[in-house]
Amino acid sequence: MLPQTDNLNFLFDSFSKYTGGIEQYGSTVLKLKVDNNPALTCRWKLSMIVSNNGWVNTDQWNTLATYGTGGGAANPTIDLLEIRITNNCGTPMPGVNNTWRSFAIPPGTGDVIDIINDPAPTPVTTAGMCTSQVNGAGTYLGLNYGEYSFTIDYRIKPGLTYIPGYYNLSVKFCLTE
Amino acid sequence: MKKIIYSAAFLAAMGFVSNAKAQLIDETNVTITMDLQPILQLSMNGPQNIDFVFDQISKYASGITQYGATNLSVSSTVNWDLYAVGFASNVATCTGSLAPAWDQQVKYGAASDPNAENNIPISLLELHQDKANPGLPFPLLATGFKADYNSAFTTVGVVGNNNIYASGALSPYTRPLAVQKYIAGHADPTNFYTGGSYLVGASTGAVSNFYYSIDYRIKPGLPATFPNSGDNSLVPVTHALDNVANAGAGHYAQSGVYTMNVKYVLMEN
Repeated sequence: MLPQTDNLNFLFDSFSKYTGGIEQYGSTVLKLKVDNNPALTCRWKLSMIVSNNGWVNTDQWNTLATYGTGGGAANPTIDLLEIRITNNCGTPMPGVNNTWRSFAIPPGTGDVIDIINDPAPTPVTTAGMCTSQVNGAGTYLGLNYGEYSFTIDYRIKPGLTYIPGYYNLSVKFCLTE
Repeated sequence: MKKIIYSAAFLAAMGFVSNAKAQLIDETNVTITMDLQPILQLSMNGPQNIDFVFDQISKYASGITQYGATNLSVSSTVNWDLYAVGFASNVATCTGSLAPAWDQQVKYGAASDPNAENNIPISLLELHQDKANPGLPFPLLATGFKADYNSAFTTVGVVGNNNIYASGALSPYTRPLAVQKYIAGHADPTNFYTGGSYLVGASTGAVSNFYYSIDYRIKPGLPATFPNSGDNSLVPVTHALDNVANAGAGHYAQSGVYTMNVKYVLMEN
């Protein structure tokens, strides 16, 4: 799996950015290369998992610094981050493909969003079908780029209710057999 | 030789199988940082200088009112308070009342009358805001005669309704106390108005709680003793120059040019 970027910064330094939000299109591109096993039964799953890096409040962003007094306001929660995933063939599962999604809170029940998850006994959707949930062996190199590459967009629209500060989150993209 | 070839082929096959099963999971990580910087924007529409010229008896007696001379627009990402403060460059105080005084730039004539006071109180300036203090929660924890400048100007002098908060020797950034006035929000940490803007929300523009139109009035009286001037305490104390507790009977303002500064301060609660 070859990511295109590993660090995204969202800087809210004007009122219009707070109210209108910031979107970063195509900031991450996942490129997959999945080799088959000897039995030719390879089936894979792709998911994304959020982490607040151990911050004490599990439903909030990791707080690195706060600005001002922050009276009457709250720390941002992880559902503030919205992610949209798509590729040329629209292979991400329904409800995820080309749809803005956020991680549910409290985490632990909703901190994982599956992108491809089509378990047995459903037959493997093989490369070249260019349809939902392609999960067989294949590669982004060659004819199946639209099935084995994923473009990730990010959006944050904070509004005016959170304590100003410097926060972070980690999103892990996990490819498993 | 055949054995060697078979062994090599077998080892190669083993290696192939081993490689194929070596990678059952792969992952990559993206770290997302969010920098929420606090933003407080106060825009003022109106002249930078507001002149009150008293050149007729009627103006002394009835005063001069300048309606809507200043329009304030607020945009804030945090809970906020807004107050007005009057101050001058020196630290002079008025005789008796010790109220902070205007700066006298010039005096007219000989001005040798000992009853002519060149220190006139900043609190003689009256403000009126177009809508009541929207601070939350309601009622505000304000202990003064009035919590804001929303009272109408009265023809009969009422001390404490509209007098501006004066910082005097204090910094203009010393915020008003609970007995004094705020345009929005108040001194207690639990009193504030929530973040937002006159540009967005359920109500925008002139009806928004993020927009204020400010009127100014100065009423010197005859003679110029400024009977409306006073402080912001629970029971307002007059700063009128001829009051026996102040300069005393017969005292009045010396003719001349005086200046003071009004600063509008928008601050995080």
